[in-house]
Amino acid sequence: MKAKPQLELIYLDMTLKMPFKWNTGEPLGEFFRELKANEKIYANQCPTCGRNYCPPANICTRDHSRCNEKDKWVAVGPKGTLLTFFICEQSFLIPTTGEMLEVPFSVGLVMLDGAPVVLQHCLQETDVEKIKPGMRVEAVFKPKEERKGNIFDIIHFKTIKE
Amino acid sequence: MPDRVGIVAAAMTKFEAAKPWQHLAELVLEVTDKVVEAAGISLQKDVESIVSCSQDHWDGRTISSMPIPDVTCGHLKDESKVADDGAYAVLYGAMHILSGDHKLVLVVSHCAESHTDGTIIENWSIDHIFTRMLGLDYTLAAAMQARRYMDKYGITPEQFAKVVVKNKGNAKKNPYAQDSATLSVIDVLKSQMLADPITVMDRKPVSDGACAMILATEEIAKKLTDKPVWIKGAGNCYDPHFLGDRELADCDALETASKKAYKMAGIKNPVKEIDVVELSEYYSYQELLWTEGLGLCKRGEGGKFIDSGKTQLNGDIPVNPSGGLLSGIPITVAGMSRVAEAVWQLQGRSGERQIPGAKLAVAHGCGGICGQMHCVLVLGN
Amino acid sequence: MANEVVKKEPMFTEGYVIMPYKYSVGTLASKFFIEIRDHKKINGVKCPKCNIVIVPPRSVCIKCFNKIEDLVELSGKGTLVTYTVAHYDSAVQAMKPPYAIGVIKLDGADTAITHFIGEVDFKELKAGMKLEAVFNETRNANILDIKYFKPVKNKG
Ligand SMILES: [Zn+2]
Ligand SMILES: [Zn+2]
Repeated sequence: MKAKPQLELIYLDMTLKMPFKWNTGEPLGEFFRELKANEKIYANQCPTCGRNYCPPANICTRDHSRCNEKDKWVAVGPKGTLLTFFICEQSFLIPTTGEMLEVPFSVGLVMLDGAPVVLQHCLQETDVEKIKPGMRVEAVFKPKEERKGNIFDIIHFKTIKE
Repeated sequence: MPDRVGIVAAAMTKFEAAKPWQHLAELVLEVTDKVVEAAGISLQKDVESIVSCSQDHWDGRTISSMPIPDVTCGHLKDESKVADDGAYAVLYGAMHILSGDHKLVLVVSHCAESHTDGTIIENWSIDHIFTRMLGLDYTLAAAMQARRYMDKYGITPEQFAKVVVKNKGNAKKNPYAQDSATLSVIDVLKSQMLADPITVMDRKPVSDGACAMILATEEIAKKLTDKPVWIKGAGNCYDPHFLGDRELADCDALETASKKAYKMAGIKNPVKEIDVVELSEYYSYQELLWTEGLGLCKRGEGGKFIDSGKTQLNGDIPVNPSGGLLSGIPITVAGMSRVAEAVWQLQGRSGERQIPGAKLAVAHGCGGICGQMHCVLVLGN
Repeated sequence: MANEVVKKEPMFTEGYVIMPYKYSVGTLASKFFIEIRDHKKINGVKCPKCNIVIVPPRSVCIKCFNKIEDLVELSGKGTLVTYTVAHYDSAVQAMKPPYAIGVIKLDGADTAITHFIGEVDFKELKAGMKLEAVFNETRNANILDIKYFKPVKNKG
């Protein structure tokens, strides 16, 4: 059988790069102001069904009740209990920065002390042998001058012994 | 068809160049709460389905409808998204009802154009193989369409400028409008040239905001309001994408869409029967071209039509009494906001911009490069 | 909601959406770009059913939706259908403003392509003017291998 002549196939390389400045809105803006100024993590509660939200919600996603009065906010953490986690071993392009992810990289769901709320954030520990659900962790904040009022004002949660 | 589709209520945010105190879902929350209150219904109990309209690139997130159920009590409900113009969301919402699946639907659209650089999104909507690398965006393409329109029919930049003067003037009577001004044709012609013949004033400004509507079956709409607005006709149509595949000076797709909508609504003489038109002019020349496509005047007569004064607020057939997109409406929200304005006109809720006795209205949404796709809705009471 | 916190500054999260793509252009467009790169020839396609000539090439006829497999050679000369001069800068533009861009109908084609117009006094731009393609020295098998279209000089 005669081989079909090979056609050279053309590819076009293009990178979409869009700069974004997303409004955080309120009360998320106030949550970030508190992180930045006071190293405080806040949560709030739905007055109707009692569901807790961290960061604070302005309406309950279940019953649409308003829950944004700041005088009812409660400070939670910085300590908490790890519920579950993942460890990422495969690097990939981080779409919000364009940089490759440094691996290993771990993320956990942390049940914060003070209210039944869960915050998702990075873990300092990346050794799977040393991470156990139920272990105690604590938020580590950036130094004040480096904080920008976003979720990365918390660097990660570190493992603590109690 | 089970029965007619009624629009019970409509709501909008005020449109602004930026709305820094609200994130995207909060724009949706604001209009959802407003429209639910206006319709006198329970979001939790009465709304069966949510049709949202937004676009991933504008929101800067994959699946831009992700936060919508959170703010619309949409968990464990039927939710779907239109990633096109908002007029299509109204059309799809109506289909939900006509299918018999749902009795009451919330349609909502949002966009915050201030969050990113829209020219990048425009460029990325364009054919990636033969055209995108040229750096084409909607303004350059629109300028070429405007030029072709001028060359073929002798329309002038002065006539384009009259649209800006009219719409920015009308916007002074619209509390939701972002930009309003008392302008002269000279002001428009002398403003910064972007791409010949389009000046910065001929182009819709960057805008943030949201719009929402409650659609219901005939039976429910009549129970909820004594001023239901009925969707009497609908048509939508697509042109080819490539500019060189089309005759840019004519809008075949809009002609087809409007003919379909008029036939469904039983309209024989649009200019006589229609009381008010709200259309989507992203650029001033488009209002002239779209009035042709909507059959309000003949091909090539869009210029004469604005000269005649018929489209003024006090004219025979006012076009964009709200101030149109030139007064500042974000993309995706655009077409839905046209429908909402038409609903308010028919309900007699348009305040200073009210067209007295309006009974039949046309709302138009469009999208894509040089008006590639068009959606026409005929509304009446 | 908006007015409760007017004394404070609104908060933002800044970042990018960065997505790298490697598009395969398909068989027909590969041939189209290779012809430009290797032979400075612009090709269209001819629908075997309704005979219209389409450029840029498509594998399905835009009129009768018949399948199209073969390219036809076009002259590289054509007529300006419409145009504009860009006076503003943007993040996506490939040229420094001011520059001219137009829709050009190549001789023998039924559809037109979009490209730059160069070596032209903007005041002389006019629909119907004759243009010819100018190619870049280094060509990489993409649409920018055509540098621009320039006015055909009247001989005599
Ligand atoms: Zn609740
Ligand atoms: Zn054909």
